[in-house]
Amino acid sequence: MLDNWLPFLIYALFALAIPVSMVVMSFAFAQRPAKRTRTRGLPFESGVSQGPPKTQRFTVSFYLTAMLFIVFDIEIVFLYPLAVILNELAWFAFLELLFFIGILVVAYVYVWRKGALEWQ
Amino acid sequence: MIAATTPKVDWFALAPVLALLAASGLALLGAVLVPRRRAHGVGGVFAALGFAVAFVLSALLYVDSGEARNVVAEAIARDRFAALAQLIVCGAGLLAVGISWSERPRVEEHAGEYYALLAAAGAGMAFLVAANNLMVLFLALEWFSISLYVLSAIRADRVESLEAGLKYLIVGGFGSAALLFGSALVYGSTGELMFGRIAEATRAQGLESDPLLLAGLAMVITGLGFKASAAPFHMWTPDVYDGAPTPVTAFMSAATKTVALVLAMRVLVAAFPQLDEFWTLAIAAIACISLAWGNLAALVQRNVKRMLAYSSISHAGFMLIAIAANNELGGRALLYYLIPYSAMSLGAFAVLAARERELGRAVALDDLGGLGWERPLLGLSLWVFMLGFAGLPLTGGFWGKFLVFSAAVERGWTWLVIVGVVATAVSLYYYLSVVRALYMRSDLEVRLMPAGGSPPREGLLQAAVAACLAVTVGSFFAVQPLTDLAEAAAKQLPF
Repeated sequence: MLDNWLPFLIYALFALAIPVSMVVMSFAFAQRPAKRTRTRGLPFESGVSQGPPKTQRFTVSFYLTAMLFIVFDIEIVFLYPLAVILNELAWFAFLELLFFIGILVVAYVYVWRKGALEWQ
Repeated sequence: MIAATTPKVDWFALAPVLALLAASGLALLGAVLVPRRRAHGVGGVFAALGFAVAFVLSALLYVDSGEARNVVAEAIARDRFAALAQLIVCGAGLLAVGISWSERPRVEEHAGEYYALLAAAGAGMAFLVAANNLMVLFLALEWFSISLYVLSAIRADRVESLEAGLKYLIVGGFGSAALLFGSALVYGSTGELMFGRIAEATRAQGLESDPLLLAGLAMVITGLGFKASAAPFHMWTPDVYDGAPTPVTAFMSAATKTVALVLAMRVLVAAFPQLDEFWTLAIAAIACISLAWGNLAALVQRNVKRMLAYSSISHAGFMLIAIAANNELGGRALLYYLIPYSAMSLGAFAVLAARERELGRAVALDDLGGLGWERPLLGLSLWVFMLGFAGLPLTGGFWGKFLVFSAAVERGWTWLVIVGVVATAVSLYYYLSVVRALYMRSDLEVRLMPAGGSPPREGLLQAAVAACLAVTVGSFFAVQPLTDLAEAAAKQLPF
């Protein structure tokens, strides 16, 4: 009974060890300069200095377009496997495909008419 | 060359879902293709039609499903158990459309989307109760949950609504993750996804004490506990019920609870009969915690919506007793209980929605003063709903509790009945305090009266409340035919 739980224990140990080791190692192996300099107080990303502050702003249209791209891109991901075996599955697959595309068309018309594809 | 076989699709079994999905799509198209001032009407009509058609189709499905069987590659269970739950969901959806109709000025900007999401949530719920495998279960759960996350946050101009949507998203996502992880463990242990085959594999391979399977089952129960808002997985409930637009709260409290509990019963009974010693105790424990926590926390609430949220947690506790009983009486009790409970819950939140619109802010207990005299139908209905929640006779709540307790006695768990009775006694205090606030105040105590003029007519809302009232009282008198329906449905589960 108890050895049945061994995989769980190992799993739990790993799950615990990874985050704990990150925190501990960053304390243990960090090379600390004696003085608290200005650079040390700056936030860093993977040890790379952020450089001068960036105030460059992106228009929200980028995000909107990117999101919509992903939504309609996934459609292709689903259609490819279907296309490969369309002959074997015959009408069933064709009708399912139409059904799937029908739902997507509703979404597309909605997105289009809502003006989400206009660049603002 | 791949040898592919196509499943035979039983379209009739899927008809209620497809009707709601079509309604959702049409409402969504209505939102962008018709002029904005008509969008509300078009969306509302499509959603109402969808729920009405789905209601009729579920009724036909119930009549036609004398023999339970699995269809569409065994992924969907076609039985009366699912059909009855679909009936409750569609009825709740139809009434929710009626309640939402008066929200016209408030959701104007997203009216079409609002109704589309309502119908989509209904479709997901109708899909969920018929789920017969772990993947369909998860798919349907996410389907209606995501719709509800957006619905909770649809009034983006109110920070409470956004907060409710975000909280529901995060906590609900956590619950879904637990359910998914649990499903993965169950699959890893048994190698099966279908509920019936999980049970077979458990028996055939002697997995009764397999830690993977037990851990998976525990996580599945946790995930469903989140959706049913049973304590200790309830922490999102008060904030979400309070912050979400009230018609959405009404729909959520009735329909989400229905499908989560019905599905919990199906998956536990059909997939894990060998582990019943474990899960009946676990469910009984969750039921006790829900009863205790829900009732005690409701005692101190001043905001009526929050109070009803805690009350819904305690009702989840009552219905979990029926699941913990793990017998046919329990199935009958659960399905019967859900009928008056859904009606009372929808009706109570509908009355609050009307009051909220008059006041323009959240309804505190004191704000109910005078409602009983100004709007007699709403006041009287709220009174009856509160008595029904408390389980007093002349409402279906009485028989609901009676049947739940008799299921627990049949199992031999008298202690669970005692917990339930004590919880009912405690709950009387806060339910009756609503009645007191409605009718038993002297003029001096009623501090706030709405601005002058006659109250708004809100015909559809009043009709919805009247329908809820009729179901609440009617289910008391029609207890025999309704329990017959529930019994015929419960018989089809493999107890």
